[in-house]
Amino acid sequence: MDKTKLITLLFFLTLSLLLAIYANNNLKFIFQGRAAGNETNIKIQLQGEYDKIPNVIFKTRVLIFNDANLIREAEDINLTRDQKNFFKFNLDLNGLDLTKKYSLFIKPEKYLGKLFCSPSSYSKSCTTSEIVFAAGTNSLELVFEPLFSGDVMPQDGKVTAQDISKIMNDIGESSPNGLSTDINSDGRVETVDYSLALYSLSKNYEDDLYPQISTTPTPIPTLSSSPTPTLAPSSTSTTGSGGTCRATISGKIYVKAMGQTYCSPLNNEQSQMCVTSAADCTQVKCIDQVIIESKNAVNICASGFGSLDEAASRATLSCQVEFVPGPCTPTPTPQINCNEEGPSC
Amino acid sequence: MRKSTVFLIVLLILTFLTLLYTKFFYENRLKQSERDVNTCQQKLSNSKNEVKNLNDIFFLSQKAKAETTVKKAGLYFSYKTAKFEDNLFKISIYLDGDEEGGADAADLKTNLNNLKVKYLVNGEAFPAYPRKLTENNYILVTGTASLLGSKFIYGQRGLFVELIAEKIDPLRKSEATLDLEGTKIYLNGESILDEEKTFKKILID
Repeated sequence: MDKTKLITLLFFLTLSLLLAIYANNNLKFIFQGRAAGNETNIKIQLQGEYDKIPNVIFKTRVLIFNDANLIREAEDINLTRDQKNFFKFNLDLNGLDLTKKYSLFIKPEKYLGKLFCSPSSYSKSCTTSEIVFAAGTNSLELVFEPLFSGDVMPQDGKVTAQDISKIMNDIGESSPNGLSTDINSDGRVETVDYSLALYSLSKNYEDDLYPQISTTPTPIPTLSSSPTPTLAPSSTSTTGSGGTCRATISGKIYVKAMGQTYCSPLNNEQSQMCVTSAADCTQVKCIDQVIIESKNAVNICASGFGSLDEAASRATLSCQVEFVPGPCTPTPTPQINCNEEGPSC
Repeated sequence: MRKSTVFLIVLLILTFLTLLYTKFFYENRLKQSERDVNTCQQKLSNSKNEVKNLNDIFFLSQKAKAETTVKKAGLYFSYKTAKFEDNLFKISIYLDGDEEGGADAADLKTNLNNLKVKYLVNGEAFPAYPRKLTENNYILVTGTASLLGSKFIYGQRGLFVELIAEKIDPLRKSEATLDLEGTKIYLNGESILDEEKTFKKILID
């Protein structure tokens, strides 16, 4: 091999090595699945001693509220032990409007649910949503007071004679797969589980009352192959003394996703919301509400891969509004079904 | 294309693929190791399950002994009232039913209309009453089976709770209504509440 060939060979080898290192470092996300989005690492405290229990995991239900509106409901989130009786879980924030303030209702299996408005404002003192999430990865410590246990299956939000009887009946039983009466999930039902539940019962602890829900919970969506949201623009309603704002909405909703533009028609869609005065029942406010709902639907269904073409949509939208004074019954917002193919324009 | 160029391109691709393969190979090894650790920890945890502590052994043996003294039978709540003074009444609520019937936990929730509870004392139907709640418009009392000294005692027929209640407005009718949703009698995790025989309403004249 002459000198030129050797240099060329060395050059290519170096180049290939550099290329491989680059690919390894920078194309990781291609091989490792989802790119990191917005999420928050939440830490809570549970009643009980967990120092000597390895790998304890509780399935947890989390409801996210914006004041009285239920924004999202997440089931079966894994709550894992951090240290002592502190546990943590990751909450996916993708699709949430990060300009709004939220409160969280957290209910692990076998435990009573607690409502948090902020780290220091919870349960009865929690009246207004105060939690602000930032984009990226956050952490939030809600450890001021522990969550109390004893609400075993079927969970009814309180500790009753039924729970106590079930635990008492299972004392001495063990199962690696977990018994619902094994409060501390150490694999066996013991007097300590009975004692934990008895404490909550004696204090008459119950699930915290969460805000009166005025919207239907939206499930965590999955991106469908055709991410055109089926828009049902019934506005978020709040109970007010003013009256009902009835709207008839027409127009088109344009969504840009995956390099294409999708269009969903709105043909005389009927909607109503509770308003505090006639001044809140105008065509402009109605269109604003449709845009907000549409953005919400796009965020949920497109998981960040699509966006509402607001200008184009606004240009086509029209609302005929009618204010009806008197008591108003809030109507639930229809569930957004991302997999449903709606009509196209 | 010259032979050497083809050779170099092939070499480049091979190097790239080798690196990728190595990366995935070690990632899989790491995942497998994590799985092995979890399995070992689970086995360790399971082996611990066989061990019972002294508290549990004592509790279980006493409970097993006591189980022979009771049988599963429908139990219910009944009541008696007696006038105490002008506007004061004594309401006695009993755990009632089969003489041998036993319960390991019972809740009694009663809503009060035009009645204010002055005193509430538990009876002796259960050995323990971990919850005795008196609110403005209801009472909630829970009795549980328990170890009393060295003996496990089930709840059995007898006085469950006694209250002295005062009419708030003497001219209006007063009553205590059973809250069926909040009232339970359980044995070994099964409901034994006889809803039909349980009182629904206590009228105070």
